[in-house]
Amino acid sequence: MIRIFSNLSVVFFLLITACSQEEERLDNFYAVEDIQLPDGLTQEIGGMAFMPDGRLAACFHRGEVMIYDTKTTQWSVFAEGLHDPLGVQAVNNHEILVMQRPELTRLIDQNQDGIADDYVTVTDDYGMSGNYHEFAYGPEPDGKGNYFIALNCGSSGAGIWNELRGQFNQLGRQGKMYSCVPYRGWVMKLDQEGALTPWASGFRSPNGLGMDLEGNLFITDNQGDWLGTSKLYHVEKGKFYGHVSSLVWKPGWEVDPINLPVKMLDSMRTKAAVLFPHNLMANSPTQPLCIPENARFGPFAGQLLVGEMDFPRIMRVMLEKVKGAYQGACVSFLDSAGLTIGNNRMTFGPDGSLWVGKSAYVWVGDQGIQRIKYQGGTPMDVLHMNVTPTGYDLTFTRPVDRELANNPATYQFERYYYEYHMEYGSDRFDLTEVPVKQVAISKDGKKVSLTLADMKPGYVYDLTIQDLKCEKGVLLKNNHLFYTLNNLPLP
Amino acid sequence: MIKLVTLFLIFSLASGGAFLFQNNEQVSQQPKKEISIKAISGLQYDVVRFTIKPGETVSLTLINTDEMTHNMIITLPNQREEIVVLAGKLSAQGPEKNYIPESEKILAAIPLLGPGEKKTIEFTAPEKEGVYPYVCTYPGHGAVMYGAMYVTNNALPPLSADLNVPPVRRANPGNEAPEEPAHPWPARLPAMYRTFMPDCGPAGIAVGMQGDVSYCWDAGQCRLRYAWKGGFVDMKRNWSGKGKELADIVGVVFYRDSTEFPIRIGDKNHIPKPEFHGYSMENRYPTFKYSLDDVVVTERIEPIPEQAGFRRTFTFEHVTQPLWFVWKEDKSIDLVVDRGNWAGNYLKLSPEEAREFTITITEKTRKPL
Repeated sequence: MIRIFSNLSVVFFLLITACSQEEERLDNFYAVEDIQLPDGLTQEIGGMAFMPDGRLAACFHRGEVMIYDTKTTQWSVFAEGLHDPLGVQAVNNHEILVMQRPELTRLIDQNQDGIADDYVTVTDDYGMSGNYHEFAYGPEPDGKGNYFIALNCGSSGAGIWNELRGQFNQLGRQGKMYSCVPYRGWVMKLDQEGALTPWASGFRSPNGLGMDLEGNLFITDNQGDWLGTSKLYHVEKGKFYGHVSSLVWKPGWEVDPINLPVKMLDSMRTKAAVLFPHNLMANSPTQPLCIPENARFGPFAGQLLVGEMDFPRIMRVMLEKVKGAYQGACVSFLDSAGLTIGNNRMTFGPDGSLWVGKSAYVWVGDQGIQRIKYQGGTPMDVLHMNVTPTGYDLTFTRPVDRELANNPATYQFERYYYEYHMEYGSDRFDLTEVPVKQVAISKDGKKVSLTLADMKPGYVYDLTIQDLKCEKGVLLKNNHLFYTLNNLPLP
Repeated sequence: MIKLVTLFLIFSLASGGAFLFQNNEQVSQQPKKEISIKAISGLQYDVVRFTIKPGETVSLTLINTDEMTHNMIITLPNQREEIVVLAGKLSAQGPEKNYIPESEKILAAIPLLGPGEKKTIEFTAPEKEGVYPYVCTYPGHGAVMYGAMYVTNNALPPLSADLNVPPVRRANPGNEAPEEPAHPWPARLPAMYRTFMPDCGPAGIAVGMQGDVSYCWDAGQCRLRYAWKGGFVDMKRNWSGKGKELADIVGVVFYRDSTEFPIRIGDKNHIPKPEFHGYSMENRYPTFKYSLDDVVVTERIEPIPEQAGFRRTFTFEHVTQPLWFVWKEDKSIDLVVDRGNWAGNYLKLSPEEAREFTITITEKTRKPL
């Protein structure tokens, strides 16, 4: 009996310790640390990927591909001399795919001495006008042996060269961002035979490709001409996403797309799943990265994280399918808290930590690599935001403080829309406050159902949750959410 | 009216605050100091500091030559960072307020200017000597895009030691600071960059060989374009921008291939269709692999000791027709081939000979008269 008692007291003690540790962690679930990089390296990261043996491969602004051994914390050179590399994928421990400006390249270390011997051109079947803005992004594997790449449009910030690669098309030369050589503004699919085919059009500056756990392809695009604000698209074969110059590469296309009626172009496009309101959420979103099921990265498995260049921020996207199409909300995942700006590339390490590579390219940004480690416990956050015929259901990670949560004034909604037009960016139009009429809280205290005065598709619903705490008194910090209401569900 | 303004000016200066006349005609009767500053690529002002005398009238023009939007706020001494933070807090209201927050610590401001726009404002310098920072408060720019207005009768500190200008602009041309390494390893030859090269298609390759002879190879057209002696490339301009600028050749070009295309297979008038397959590195020199009309070719270029020249070794796999190498007479070049027969400007190689052959190109040494 004494023995049992003492055992119980040990358990009890452990429980108390666990609780108090969690209490201490209530405000600090993710720790940010800087990774040491070698001297003499311009630390602007174009891509990062872990190899099967747990080493990190990263490519840099000046054309290096370097390998980081996380055990010894030593860097070594794998390849060099690449042209603006902006993405890597590890094929195995001796082989890396790298997307550089002129081509997708397979780097192979044949003699396994740690340095690539063969630089094999996987595909260069797309055009280059010599315009600096024609960056190439990817490759994003689809899990079935194929890869997606994305091709940036050229910019009126500079002209084109006399000598081009690929066929010139004057119709695509118009506009602020243009597509005068093949497949600029397109997402391309590379099949296992090495054939590169056009997959989807209508992109401006698609610096970020990512697949979710179900194999859906998501791509971000940046605010500018034809983009009132930055966006996240669910990209499917054959669809057009709104930036018009790329249309000239559709078979049989013979008109200048800029001169078509905007209404017609609007009817052709597939709308973004999520808008990132400019200056409020993101000015330059980068890579979407899905949190794996077994990530040990907190309660958000299956959701997308999206990097951001101009703010010290990583965003989180909560998606749902309504009337057959993805739509949803974005919110900060991590703001400041040691995180710097320029969050261009992300990848999960074997230990579940998130590695974030910085870049600037003389735009707003930073250098270096930061690593974000989950510290355990459950942060107070909105886990899901789901639309209902009359409002929104908010599911929290922890039970809410009922008194605070029950007050309609806690939830401040406004709605607005961005204009689809050729001009650069867009104001927020028809900005209207939308009162919350009714609040209902679920038994477990985790779900709050809000009934709004008005639900209008085609608008961003901008929600600020004011001073809401969980039942243990922890404030909801990531309290500004933006739901892109394309479709309203049927009652 | 002038008296009133003057009184007001005296009053405001006496009260310790600097005073701003924005576009005010009345003070422009005095001689004024004209300052013109450009917003340039790379989040910078082209002028990072200037001097005015206390109480002097300043006509300040900002010209935005960049492709991004910029503004300019002149703050009271040591208030730059605080104003940047305040501007950041404007969030959604930022654009309509030109990212100019309301603050008594702002001396003067030029609103947001789009690419190509310019604006002039006029104001009177404070009577109090000091360093008055100016900064672009567009989100994200404030940390790096700034400069300093010195209100002083004295000389300025050396630029290299001036903490009021951005670190990248403190470099002093007279200062013999060692050049920073380009990579995390010491500079070495041979070396290779895929980059934007002059007189080449957009898929350019620069290779610098031992002996300071370098060449440009075009991965779009699959051919050697030109070679130079005396150095490799300077990548500074290309790397410091968005990749817009070309790599700069260091040295003198001594050879250019000015043929339409140098190799023909079978029909010597037919230009074969090139396709680039990449390259293998051996001793840090690339062996290029490509196909011409589906015939697989390898080409390796190596230096010749002590000479401005290089040797090209070609292999053609499974070629069944004769091969033609086209040469355009070049009086400054010596050409030596180890296989084939010349027919005018065409070197004809049998399929057997084409399996492996070398072409050596060297600059003619000038003979004494």
